[in-house]
Amino acid sequence: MGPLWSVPAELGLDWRLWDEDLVVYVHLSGDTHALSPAASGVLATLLEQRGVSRSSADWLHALTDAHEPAPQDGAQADADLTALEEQLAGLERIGAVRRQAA
Amino acid sequence: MIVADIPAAQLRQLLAGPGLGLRTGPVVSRIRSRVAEVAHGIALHYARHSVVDDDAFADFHVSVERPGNLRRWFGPQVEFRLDGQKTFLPLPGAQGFPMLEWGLNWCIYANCHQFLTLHSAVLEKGGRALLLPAPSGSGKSTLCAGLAFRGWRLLSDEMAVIAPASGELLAVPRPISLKNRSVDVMRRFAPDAVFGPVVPDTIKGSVCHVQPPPDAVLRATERAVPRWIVLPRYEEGAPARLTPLPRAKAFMALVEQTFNYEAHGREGFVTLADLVERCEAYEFSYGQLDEAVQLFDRLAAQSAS
Repeated sequence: MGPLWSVPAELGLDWRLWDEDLVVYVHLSGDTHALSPAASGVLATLLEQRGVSRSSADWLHALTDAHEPAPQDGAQADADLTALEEQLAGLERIGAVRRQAA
Repeated sequence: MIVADIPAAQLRQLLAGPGLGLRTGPVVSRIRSRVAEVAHGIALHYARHSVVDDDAFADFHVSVERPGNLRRWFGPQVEFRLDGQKTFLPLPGAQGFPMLEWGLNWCIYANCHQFLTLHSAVLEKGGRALLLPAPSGSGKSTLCAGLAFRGWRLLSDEMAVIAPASGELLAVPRPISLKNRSVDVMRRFAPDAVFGPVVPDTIKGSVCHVQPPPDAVLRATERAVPRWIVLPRYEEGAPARLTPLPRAKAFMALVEQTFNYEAHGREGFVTLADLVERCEAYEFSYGQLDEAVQLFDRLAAQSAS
């Protein structure tokens, strides 16, 4: 099973979501980031459920449930999962999400 | 007492001796200089500014002097010092007043961390402030000067000084720095304004300072609430046009122009984010100053109604 992803409650973040653009200040690094719409959507979803750890597949369900119907064909689902994992990895690099072993 | 109350000879003595304690908004600078251009520049551009007593607290003790080396006799120079320490390379001798101005700007950027400071012109109308954050060469100072001489109160042509607790803007009304072609544009636009000499061949080209409008200096203690963030861009022949700017882009533009954002940490983020949320944000291009000023007047009128 893959890793679990979350925004732990103790992770110091400040953010603002304006339209579909999220800007985030990471306390640990002191850096400010303006996220792409895709990364904004992912981080906003994890922030709505702050402290909840899920696999990327489960976060994909949460995202698609919230915003659109889940794709029917397997190839599209795989592509969506890969895209989500890229976004999560990017957010992890800036210190906005945490990855932990399942 | 204001600078204009001091006879010219006494002003020169003060500058050459204990220093002139000059209040510019929230900051007091004690200035020493035996350079004639500096004394003339202060008398001309700071005529209405308050002077503090000799023993009053000063935030900055600065000087602009000629270095005591062989260059006194060939290729004279001027150098700026803060607390007796050289902070910049010397400049050619005729650039004494511009160097004082640049040095005073630097003093605030580099030291006044009780405020969040941005590279931005700031003006106010009806209690609402317009921020024009932009790098040099964008037409910011020309637009700022145009508005300042057509009914907008000048808070600063160079820096937005934000009180983090309230998000209000403090006024630091000082001479407006015009460069190159904008000098002639402003001479035509505001012929009654008080212009200093044009100083050629500076690092920014030809520079000319303009005395701030009297009302700006008289109301220097009045704060203003931010209302508009406008990123200006001069384009020859372009019609004046405001284009709405997404808040996230406006926010990052402010971060980019903030001198001490990192020093404020989380407070800096929150202060700028709150500022963005209380403002309308636009990109603005213009080619004619008259047209630009009319557009901003309409913007202010719409907001007031």
